[in-house]
Amino acid sequence: MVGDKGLNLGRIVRGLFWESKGLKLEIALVFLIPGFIYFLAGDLRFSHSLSIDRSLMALITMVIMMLWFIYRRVAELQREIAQRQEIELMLKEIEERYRALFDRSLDLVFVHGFNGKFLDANNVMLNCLGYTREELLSFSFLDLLPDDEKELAKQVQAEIIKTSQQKEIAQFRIRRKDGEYVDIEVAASTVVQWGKPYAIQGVALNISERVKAGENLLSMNEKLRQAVDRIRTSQEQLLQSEKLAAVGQLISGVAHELNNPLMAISGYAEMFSHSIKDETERRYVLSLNKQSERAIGIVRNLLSFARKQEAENIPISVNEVINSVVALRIYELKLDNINVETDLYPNLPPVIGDFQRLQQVFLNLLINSEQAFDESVNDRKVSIRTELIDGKVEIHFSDNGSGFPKICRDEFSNPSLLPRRLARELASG
Amino acid sequence: MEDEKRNETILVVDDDRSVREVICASLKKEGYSVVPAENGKEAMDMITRRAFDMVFLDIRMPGFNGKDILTLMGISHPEMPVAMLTAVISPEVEQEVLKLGAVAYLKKPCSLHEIAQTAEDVLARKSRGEFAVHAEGKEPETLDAPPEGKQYTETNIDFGEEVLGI
Repeated sequence: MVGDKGLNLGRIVRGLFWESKGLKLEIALVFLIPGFIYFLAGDLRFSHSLSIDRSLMALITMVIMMLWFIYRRVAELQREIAQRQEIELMLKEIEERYRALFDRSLDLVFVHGFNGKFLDANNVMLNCLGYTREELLSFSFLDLLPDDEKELAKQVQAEIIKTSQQKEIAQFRIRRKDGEYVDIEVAASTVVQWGKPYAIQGVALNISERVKAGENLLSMNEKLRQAVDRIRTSQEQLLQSEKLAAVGQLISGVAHELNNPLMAISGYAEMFSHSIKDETERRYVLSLNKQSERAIGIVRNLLSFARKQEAENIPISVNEVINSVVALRIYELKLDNINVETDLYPNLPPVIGDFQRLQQVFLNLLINSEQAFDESVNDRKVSIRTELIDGKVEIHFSDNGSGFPKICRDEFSNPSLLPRRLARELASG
Repeated sequence: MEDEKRNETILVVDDDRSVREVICASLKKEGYSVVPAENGKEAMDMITRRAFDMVFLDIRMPGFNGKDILTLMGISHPEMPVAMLTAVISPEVEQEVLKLGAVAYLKKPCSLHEIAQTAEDVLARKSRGEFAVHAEGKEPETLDAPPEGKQYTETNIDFGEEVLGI
């Protein structure tokens, strides 16, 4: 475009004679005015006094006019050329500015044809993807996308070709040379040459970090949610154990209150048993005494169970623990038609442990057995057996109920499941 | 043992009427003179009015509880043996009241036979002079003989509240 001399000269010549608007008028004037002078000069006095031939005079006029017109034309063309050069300089500057934007952008910039083939890409893009320029130019945009994103890319491309730009920023995953994928956000528009769109230029942002951070955030969120769930569960368990503690206190209070009337009943029964002479009446009173003694035993057992105590590791008799637990539940067991068979090893050596906690464990087992029986079992039986094997005390609990459904096995140790009946009965007064 | 007349008088302090009555009845049957008191204040009142050979004392009572009375009696009537008879079944409380000077700790409910046995034992020990203040080699803490360096104001002990102010 710039500095083509031959073209310039040709244009000057063409411009001189054909391209100017006033050319025809100028040509007409170049011939008309000398003609007019020639025609008038015949009658003009000054032509005789100058002794110049009128034809010469016309010729001279013609030459002068032609030179003047040529001068004007050349000056005009020179102005035009200067203007063009200025524009060309400006274009060059704009081109350079575009190039600088293209090359020095911190974003990924690329150009690909309507067929998707890359035409150009900046260094940021090349560095990001790890390809050389030649390698990249051998690919098309779709080649670098995973299969599931190709359809979206085609749609976006069609939209750009149709409307010359992209309405919304699109997100793609582009394959790097090492096979890893880079998440990018792209905004693209058409590039025009000679007034016609011929390619698509895209500006993309590497958002891998952001996507990764988002994924991290999601996984952290998930962890947080799990933690909250765990806290909630343990809170519920805590609440449950608090409830149980409250029930324990209640039992302890009630048991204490029962002690006074029981004392009076057993006391009077004891007194009467000494003074009544009638044998039958005496038997009644003895029965009264015996039953009140039984009630006292139950209350005592309850109290020892409900009393809050620090755990201690002392020698305890396992058989004694089992007996106390059975005694505590015997009434309930009888109500449910459950037969308890205890086969306790005589003279079992003491074991180191906490009496009450072991009591709690056995009680839980027993209550679980009670609740596990369904209607179909007629001959309900719970067997408790202690053994001494190789110097170790073994305790066996078994029942002939249906056993635990698998889903419950995990919650076997959850104390909140166990004293259901107790809670139910307290609730119903 | 029945209806055998004895000289000793026993104070039975319990806020529960049925318990108080049955203990009184049983001790009476054993031949003791028995005086019932239904709360701490009444008990202190009676103790300041006359001497008892022994006291059966409940712990949980409204107002003055058994431990308060035991403390007060340790100051004013250290020679009077006190057996605790309580529904509070706790080794800590048992230790505490024994430290405060109780001579026995019975857990309610207990048999009347046990109560009678305790009364007999305690009174036997008393008659052997076990609870006499001098026998333990301790000077009685009375208002007449303030310990050295301490100044007490004389107070007319009526219901026992003033004693707390010493």
